[in-house]
Amino acid sequence: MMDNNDVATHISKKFNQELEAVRNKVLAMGGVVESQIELAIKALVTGDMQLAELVIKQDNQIDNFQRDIDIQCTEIIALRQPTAFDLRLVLVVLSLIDELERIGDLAERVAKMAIHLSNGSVGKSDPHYELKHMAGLVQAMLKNALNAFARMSSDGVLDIIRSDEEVDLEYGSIIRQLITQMMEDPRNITRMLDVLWTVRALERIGDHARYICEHLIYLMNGEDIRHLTPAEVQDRLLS
Amino acid sequence: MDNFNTHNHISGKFDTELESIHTKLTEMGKVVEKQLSLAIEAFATGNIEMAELVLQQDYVADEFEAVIDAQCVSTIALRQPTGRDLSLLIAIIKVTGDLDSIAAKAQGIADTTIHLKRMLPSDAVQEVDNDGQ
Repeated sequence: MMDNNDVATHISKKFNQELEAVRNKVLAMGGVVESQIELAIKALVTGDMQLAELVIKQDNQIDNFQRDIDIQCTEIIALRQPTAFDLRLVLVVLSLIDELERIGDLAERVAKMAIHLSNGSVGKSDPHYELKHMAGLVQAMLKNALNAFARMSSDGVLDIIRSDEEVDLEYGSIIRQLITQMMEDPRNITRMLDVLWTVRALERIGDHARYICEHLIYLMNGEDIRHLTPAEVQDRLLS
Repeated sequence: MDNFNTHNHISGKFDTELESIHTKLTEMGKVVEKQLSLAIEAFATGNIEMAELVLQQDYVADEFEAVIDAQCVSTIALRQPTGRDLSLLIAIIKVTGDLDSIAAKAQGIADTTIHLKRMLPSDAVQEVDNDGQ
């Protein structure tokens, strides 16, 4: 299996530096995205509106990262004409930053919902505990996916893809709980719908973290495993 | 201007490759459009068979995406295009991703149709049909 040393073994030192710079920028962008999710969840749970506003304001940082990295990648392909692993790396980075940008948008959505929800009376019945648990799951998925990218290794990536199934189960269970609460007291419905959009955003963050892992497997193994079930992915990688 | 610019390369083979990607992308677009309109119609009319048809065809967009992406990557690797051609190929990879997301949403609509049919009278969803047009 290739490791990150590959990035440092080009005849052109300048090319090494360019790839390294792009990689570091992706990791920096990932860090910002992670912190946005963290802050959005905190804003939601504590009802801190200023924090939520901050998340919304900071989303443009992520967009700027995306635009910069996009330009850098296109330049590398045009000027360096990379092939094989290098080409896959640049193409994967282009995909990764799209996933990260979408996760950033979802964090912003959570922050907007935090503002909506803090306007109403604090619902004792809000499933904050479950929400935090689910947020913890998707945050761990993203963190592990970015770590795998930092290590340039697809080891353990399959476990991250599998944990998306756990997120989906949690999602289903929170939805059922919300429906029960809506039926118990129809006055809850507006509020519960906002909670529902939040849960939905978290579930989508899990999906995008899974896509990042799929891109990583393509990078390291050259296999396009999108749209396969985790079991099929395992078969494909072992064969 | 024709973005695909398929008749101006010194290499005739390159023209053919771009032409082939162009054709596949157009086909993919049509398939996804069809999926979405079927899903909306299934939803509006509460037609479960139609919704199931949409669900059965989910692999079509996936396959298009995988094939077109692979073709773009090998074209970039072998032809080492620059300028417009390169931007075009990178853009196509993004477009296939977006089309696939749209197809996935159509699946979601079909899924919801089947769920809803068990709970709601069908006239409640007429409004969505108007919005979807």
